[in-house]
Amino acid sequence: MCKSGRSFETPDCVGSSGRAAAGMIRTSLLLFCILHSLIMTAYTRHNTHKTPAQQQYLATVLLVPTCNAANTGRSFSQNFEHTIAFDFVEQLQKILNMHYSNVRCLLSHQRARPISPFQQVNTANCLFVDLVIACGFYKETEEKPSVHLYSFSYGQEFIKKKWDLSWCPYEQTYLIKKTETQQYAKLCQEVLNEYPNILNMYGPYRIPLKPLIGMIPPALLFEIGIRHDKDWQQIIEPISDAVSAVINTILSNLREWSI
Amino acid sequence: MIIGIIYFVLAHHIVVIRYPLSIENEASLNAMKKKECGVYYWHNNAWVTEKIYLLSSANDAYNIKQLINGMFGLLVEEQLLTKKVNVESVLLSQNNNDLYVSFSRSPFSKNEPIFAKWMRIEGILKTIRSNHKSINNVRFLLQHQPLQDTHLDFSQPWPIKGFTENQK
Repeated sequence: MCKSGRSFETPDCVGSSGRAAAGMIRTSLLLFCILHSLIMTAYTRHNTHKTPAQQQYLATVLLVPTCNAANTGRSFSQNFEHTIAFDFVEQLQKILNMHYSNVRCLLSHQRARPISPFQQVNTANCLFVDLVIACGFYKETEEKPSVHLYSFSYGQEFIKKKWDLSWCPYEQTYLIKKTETQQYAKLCQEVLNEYPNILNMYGPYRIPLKPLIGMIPPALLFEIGIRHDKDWQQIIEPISDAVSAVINTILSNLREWSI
Repeated sequence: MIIGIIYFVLAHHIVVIRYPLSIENEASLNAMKKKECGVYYWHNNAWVTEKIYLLSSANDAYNIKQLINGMFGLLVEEQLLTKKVNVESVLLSQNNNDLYVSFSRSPFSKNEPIFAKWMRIEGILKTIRSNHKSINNVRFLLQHQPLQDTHLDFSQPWPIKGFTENQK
């Protein structure tokens, strides 16, 4: 015999206990829906609390010091190229992050870590970055720093095959974004030529460079000659202006394509 | 048994039979001439040309080896190279278009900038093409292994014209 509201002993009993079970199910469903809507509301508010610029990065720039913990590079009076290049790119990253909230600036590897062969190339290609800036330093005898600008090329580009959908040899991947690379190199040259009192500008040169081989996005290498270890601070501003000019070009191109 | 004895002495070079043709080849190799060659290198932001005298033979690979060794000797005299670099071997492909040059040590110093390294290779290429017109590509090796450098890539052969004309 069924008792009202509590007993579920007999499955054939559809009386008050069955109605109670159905009521409990409805109540639990109602509570679930309320909780779910509260959670979704809180998540949406959390996302909309961010500014629209922080929600989406329009462009990505990869900064590549040409040395790592295993290969410390060329030697200076008190340091190695590894230390100076990392100090330089970290400062460059801070400046670019300050100027551009919608551009993501990444470092290719950490300071105290060795890198495997082609690690930087894989990072640049897999992350679909818009620009790669590599920086290297050497000891210069002249007082004024020298800046040599390089991009990758194996020559005879006019006779090289263009690919639609096929395997591309790694020494010819630069052809995919060759036009943009040359445009950005010329832009950097124009900006750096506006600082004749601070640095001597050479280039841009197109030669087979090991740090840039295999990269699909436009890649430029700045090789900077300095006399003293801290002289890199003199040229951070011209280099950041040159990179900023290139980033502005990339952003304006992206806006044109989105229209 | 007689045939076996003859075969044994020939196989162990106890008796050596030389054909008349081999005598002619040796004669051509031994016929060396003194030749004036132009050597190019980059110094003080300009190309410098010097003339050196080498003993050239009919063997092109031998001549190129002597030429590059002469060039490196000159660079050491001018104190542009701190350590002497020797060319261990030079090989030409069958069609004489591709050249393989193997160095005994890296022709670059550790602290050199990219531009200096590039110009050194351009000097070698310019020296080779001014003295040997038939070569199209040069592959650089270090002790018969691909030459590895931190900044320049040598995984592919370099064109004999270099990359100075590629800058336009």
